[in-house]
Amino acid sequence: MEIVSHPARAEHGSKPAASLRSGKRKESLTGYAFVFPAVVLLIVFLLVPFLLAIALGFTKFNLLRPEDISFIGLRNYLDIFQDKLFYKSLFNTMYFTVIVVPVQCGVALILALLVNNALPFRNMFRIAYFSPVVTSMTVIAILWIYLYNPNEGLINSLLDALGIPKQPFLRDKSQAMNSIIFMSVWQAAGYQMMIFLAGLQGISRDMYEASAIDGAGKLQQLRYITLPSLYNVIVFVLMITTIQAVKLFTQPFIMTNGGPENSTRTLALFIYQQGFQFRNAGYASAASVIFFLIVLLISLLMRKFLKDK
Amino acid sequence: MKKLKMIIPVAIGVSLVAGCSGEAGKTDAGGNADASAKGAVQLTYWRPQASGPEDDFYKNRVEAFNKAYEGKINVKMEAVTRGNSFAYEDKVNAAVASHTLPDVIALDGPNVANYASSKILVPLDSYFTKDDMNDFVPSIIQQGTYEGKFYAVGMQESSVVLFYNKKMMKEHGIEPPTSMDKAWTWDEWYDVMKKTAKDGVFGTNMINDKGEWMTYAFEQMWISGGTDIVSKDGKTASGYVNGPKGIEAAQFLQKLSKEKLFNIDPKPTEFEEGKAATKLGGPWNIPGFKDYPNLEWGITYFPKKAGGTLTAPSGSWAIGISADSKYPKEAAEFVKWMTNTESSVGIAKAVSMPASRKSAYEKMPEYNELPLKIIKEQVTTVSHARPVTPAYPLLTQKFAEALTDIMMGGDVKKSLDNVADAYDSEYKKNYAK
Repeated sequence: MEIVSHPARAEHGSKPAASLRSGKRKESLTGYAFVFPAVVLLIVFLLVPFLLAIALGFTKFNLLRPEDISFIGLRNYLDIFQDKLFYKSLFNTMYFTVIVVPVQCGVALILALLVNNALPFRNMFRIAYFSPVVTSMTVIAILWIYLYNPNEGLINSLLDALGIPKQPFLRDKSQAMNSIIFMSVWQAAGYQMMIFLAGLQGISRDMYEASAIDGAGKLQQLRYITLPSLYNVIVFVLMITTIQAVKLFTQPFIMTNGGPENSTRTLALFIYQQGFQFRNAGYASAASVIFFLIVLLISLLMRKFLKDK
Repeated sequence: MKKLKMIIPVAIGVSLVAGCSGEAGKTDAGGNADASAKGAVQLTYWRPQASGPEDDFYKNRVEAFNKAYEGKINVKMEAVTRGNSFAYEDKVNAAVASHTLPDVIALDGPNVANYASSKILVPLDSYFTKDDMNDFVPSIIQQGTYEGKFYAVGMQESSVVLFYNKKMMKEHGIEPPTSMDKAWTWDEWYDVMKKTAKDGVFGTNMINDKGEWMTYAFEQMWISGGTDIVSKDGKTASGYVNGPKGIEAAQFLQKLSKEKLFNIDPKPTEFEEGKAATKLGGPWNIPGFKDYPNLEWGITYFPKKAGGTLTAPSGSWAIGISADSKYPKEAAEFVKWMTNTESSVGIAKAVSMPASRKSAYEKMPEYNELPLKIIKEQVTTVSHARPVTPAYPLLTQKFAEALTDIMMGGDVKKSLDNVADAYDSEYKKNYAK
């Protein structure tokens, strides 16, 4: 914002100052020129669709009949609030988030603490934990369908060898979501681990040395040095993990199609089906507005409770 | 491994096409850049991407058309990628919104009503003679007709039959039926499965894609029982999909899965490897059987309900004229060309699917003998198209979800009630007049 020139001040400026101003104006023009493509893209692909979604939420709009669009006021919202499937999807999304966020961040933190030590092969471990993150979720989801196969799946073969009865996993409504949670944590924890690792390496060695001289043990160091120093990183990681978790789509889309008995139907999947498969773009828009408000609310609450310290 | 080797070049090809899609569309087969200069009417034609003989068929037929109509009509064909099963439909949806549909458009059979009710398609009745209409097998007319008008012609047909392992049948002294009046009932099929399912061999094998297959294959069990999953006029599903006869059909499927007579997470080649005694599949499976020389296979009819009617699934990709076309007459010429007897024979051979015209079978003598005779009989006499309703996208999704749940042990009545409720409220909200 500092780059923006203030015409009022430029008028009153003395000569050398004025030439400085014109130099600054040139600079700010260059700045705008650089920002321009990004701003255009943001407007076209973020702001416009966002505003469109709000507007379309008040209409009946069949994707295949754009001419027949009609304004129906709050009808979509009233319908959504009576849609059992919407509540089921909302519940599933929240269930996933509430479990995944603490578990995934906890696992990531433990992994980060482990690979931050001067272990032998620590780079190998870092790569091993991070590699699922860079693999496409679609590929991973398909792989895990095989792992979870109730008959010949690798996991069931393992359970069988250990004398534990085989599990239906994705085939059972009480296990499907938990199975998705397990693989999601495995897939994404490496990402949070990397951020934690960066945070850990920013903590000064001196503090550990000083505390060691004072007689602090490893656990006390963790409690009184590592965690407080990481506070901002933890807040950041919790926020992004929550937002990612709420958007859960790919795993249920590929692995279960929302089943069995809607036990893995999430809000994102609900919106996708309504909008693109059933072509009810108006209804889907209204649902996505509600979805947006929920995410916004969660983020605000988290900010309030986490940042105010 | 074979598949993996295929995927890499295909993926590269796809990304190349995507990178220069503007050009790729124009340079595809049949593109004759200077045709418009000669005063010919330019038509565009979209179809889903294919490979091998199917792709060759399209290229050759379009080329032949352009030659035959040189100076009059010239067709540019664009093969649209089907990255996942909805990529093609997504492109159509986008083109609808921007009025950039091609003149001639390929569409999946069960989508005809949805497209027709959205006024994307032009009726074809005035372009086809009575003889033509009588030559198409009945399910093609049924699939392409919405509210009394004919909108799209199936390029080929399809069918689901029951394959069986001859050696296993002999071992158990089972003689599969070879004439329609002796076709197996569900109970007889169940007995066959019961007898043959042991020692890691399943009674039957079938695709279990949790998607379109469920509606395609199993709606027929409702029809066989004398009902359907929606009413004839398409206005309601209550009392149909969840009516007593429907519940009976779903309970039969649940019984098969509960007694583990088929593998709910099947390997696609169970039957070929001798791990399943029968297989509910289609003509598209036959070319693959060659890779298993030890397999002796036969074909029998899609099982019917005891006392019910014999029926079989049908439907495949169709072709129609878009409402955006400025040249419907010329487009009709092309649609007629792509669905005439010669094309019908050509595509049927290219994709190993039954032909959509009765006259095509005269040129394919292999369909006069067993085992293919069974497919021809089903296609030309008893097959039924999927429900012709504008709310089909929701219907098929919900029905597939319900059947998947039922096979996994879900409550039959509750699952089917959900389909009926979802369909009825969708129809009322968006399609009732």
